[in-house]
Amino acid sequence: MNELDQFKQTYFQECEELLVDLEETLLALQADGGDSEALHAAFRATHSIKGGAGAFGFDRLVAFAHTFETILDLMRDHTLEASPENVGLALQAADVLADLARAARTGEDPPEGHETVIAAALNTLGGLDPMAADDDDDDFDDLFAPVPVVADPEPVVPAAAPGSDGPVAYTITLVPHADMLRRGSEPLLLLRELKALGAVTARADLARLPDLAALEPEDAYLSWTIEVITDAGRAAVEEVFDFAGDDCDLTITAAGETVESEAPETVVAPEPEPPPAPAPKPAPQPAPVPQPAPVPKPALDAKPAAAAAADGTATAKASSMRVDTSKLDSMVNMVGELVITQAMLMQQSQGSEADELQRGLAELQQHTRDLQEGVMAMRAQPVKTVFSRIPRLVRELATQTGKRIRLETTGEATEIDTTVVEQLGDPLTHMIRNAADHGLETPEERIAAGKPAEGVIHLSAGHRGGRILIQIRDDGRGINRQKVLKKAVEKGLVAPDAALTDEEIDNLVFLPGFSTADEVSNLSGRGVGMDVVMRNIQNMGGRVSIQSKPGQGACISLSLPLTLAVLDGMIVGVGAQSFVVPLTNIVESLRPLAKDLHPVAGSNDRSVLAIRGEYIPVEHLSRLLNIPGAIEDPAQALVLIAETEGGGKVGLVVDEILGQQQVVIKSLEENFGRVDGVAAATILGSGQVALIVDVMGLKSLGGAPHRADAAGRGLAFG
Amino acid sequence: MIICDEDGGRARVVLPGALDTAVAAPLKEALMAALERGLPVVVDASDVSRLSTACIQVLIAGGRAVADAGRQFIVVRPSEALVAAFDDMGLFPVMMKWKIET
Repeated sequence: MNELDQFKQTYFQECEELLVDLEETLLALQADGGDSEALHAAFRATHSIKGGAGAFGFDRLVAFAHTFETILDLMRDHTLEASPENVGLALQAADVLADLARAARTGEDPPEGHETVIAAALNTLGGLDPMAADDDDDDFDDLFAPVPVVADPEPVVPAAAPGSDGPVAYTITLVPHADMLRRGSEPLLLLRELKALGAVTARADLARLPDLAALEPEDAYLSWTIEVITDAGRAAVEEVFDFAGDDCDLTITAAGETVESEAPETVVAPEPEPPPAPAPKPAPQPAPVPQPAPVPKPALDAKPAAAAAADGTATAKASSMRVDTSKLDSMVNMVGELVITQAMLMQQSQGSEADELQRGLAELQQHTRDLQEGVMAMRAQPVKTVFSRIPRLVRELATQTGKRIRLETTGEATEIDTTVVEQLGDPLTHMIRNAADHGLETPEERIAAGKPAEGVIHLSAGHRGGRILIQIRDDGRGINRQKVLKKAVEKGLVAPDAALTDEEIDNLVFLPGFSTADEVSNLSGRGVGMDVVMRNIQNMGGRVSIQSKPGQGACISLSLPLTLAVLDGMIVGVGAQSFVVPLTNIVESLRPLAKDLHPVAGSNDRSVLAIRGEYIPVEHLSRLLNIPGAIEDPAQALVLIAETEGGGKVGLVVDEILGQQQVVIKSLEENFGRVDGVAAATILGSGQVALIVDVMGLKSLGGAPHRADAAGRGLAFG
Repeated sequence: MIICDEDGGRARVVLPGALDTAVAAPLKEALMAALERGLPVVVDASDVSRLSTACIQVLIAGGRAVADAGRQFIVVRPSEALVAAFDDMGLFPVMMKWKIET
């Protein structure tokens, strides 16, 4: 990857974050009306996106962002009211902006004119000349001229009050006198000196640059607005301009201050000056004549409260950094190896009398675990990253379907592993589409059914028993079981005479190739069904289940592992082999009495276990996975009672329990291929490879006869 | 000394190592001359090790003049110093509008 690609990648990452911020800010605005800080934030986000896009030559993105930010600018200086309609339009514009940014990232151009409608609406709103937004390739000025930076009295970057300890953002405007260069002052050097103080963002203004023919080679035409974030203090910033102060108009403003009145006249003209005009010839300036002190002194009464708050922001910015996920991954891997080594040492030291060694190993175990948790925490991010894309999706779906949809979300702060976050987006999108398209009714249908016209989709996330539970709940019509069953029979997925429970019928929607839409709709019926969602989630070690109440709605639950790297497992022996059963699945383990085991009618080797008034189906791990030499009689063996996400239980017959330990998950899919009933593999302390049992997957392997078809495809029923 | 010649159907300007303020005038002349040839203009920037605001202004105005004339302005092998200077001055976006050949 070359350097430019890296810059681009960083830009796109930032872009994603900025777009999320932008949307959140606008949503907040829509909720509680105009807060000027929110408008500033929205403006800044759009402006940053535009700046980067300009650097990489994404013209359409630049042009649209420019139009958009102009409107936001008008709103923040109250020229334009931040009314619900206007903010609504801004939200739509943010969506288009996101499309263009994504298109720039993938290199696929969005359809010609994708942004035209919204851009035109924005232009009309702002009373702008639509041509001005048409970014001509060769028009360099357009990139820079638009924002009247100097006239903007608001701080562009939040920062602390001057004199406080944290870094302070200074906004500097540097407008060279025509003879500055001839007098030996070099703006390039000034900028570089500033750079030595802290992070510098310079914006050049080319408005004064004449045509080549009219240009006086040694006259200064460019001017700059510079933001520098530094903790070196104002004096250090002023010092940079010590020798240049007389050769230019200069203002230095710390964030939170206002520019003093003696600041020079506004310099950024939106239009380039007529070129042939007598170029600002070096009207022989009488040497250092007293000039109004160009550097405004720090206002002593800088609002302390605002400054303190801003200080927090600035410090927070400095205390986080971007790390390549692959570096974290390799770290996770190393910690995994460490866990294995530690397990090996534990095993080898067993029976040893050396107390010191035992104590040391116990400590090692504790530290390893802490280290592991630390690394996992680094990889964790709030599920909000995924959820934040949903409001927009729902808005679009509402428009497309003509339904009224309200989205509610809870538990956005729930943290999950980065890899899970990355893979969650598509399935979630698909399920939301399904809920909007198939689940919710039209306003008329809802009113007729005695429901409010507005349908609700509730998206929630939370921790549940060592896993993440994500639920998509709608208050629509629920699953039409008759229709589902009919379709499944038609497609030969289910025997016509099969007696299925309601729950089993609901779960038929996860069968490959299943779709109940009478006609393929634009939204969810694109040949990609819930089976794909199911497969995606399963690939992450997760499961999907659905609960539906006719007329009241449906709820799809995704249960995902907290991490894809380690799990606490119970090591069991079956025949000559060892397996790992995830501890989160196991409710209890027992040796059943022969009298509690009852054969299942119509089946010669299946049985159920009666325990505390409950009947639990019993499955032999050895039979499911074809392991020879295992104990056949459950009353001679051990039964692990495992719980499934759907709340059902299953009794797993194993020969013996060998121990309990944390194991490192090694993906079977990556190294070998997917095996039904097996979630992954691991390396035990003895160095032996053991398979990690997928309890839910097992249930499908041993499922009832009518599910034979489903079992072959590795489906899990919860 | 700024070389200004024709190379493969393109007007070529080879920039010297030091683009000091004093070089701005000859640079302007060279670009004007290149512009008069009515061809795409290629600026070879591989040797540039020092820059000044004056020369940067001339280059930008030159680029714009060539584009205004409906021709391509191509910068060949921009040196690190050139890229850094444009970047430091907040002019990287301008540079990205040029066709860059490496």
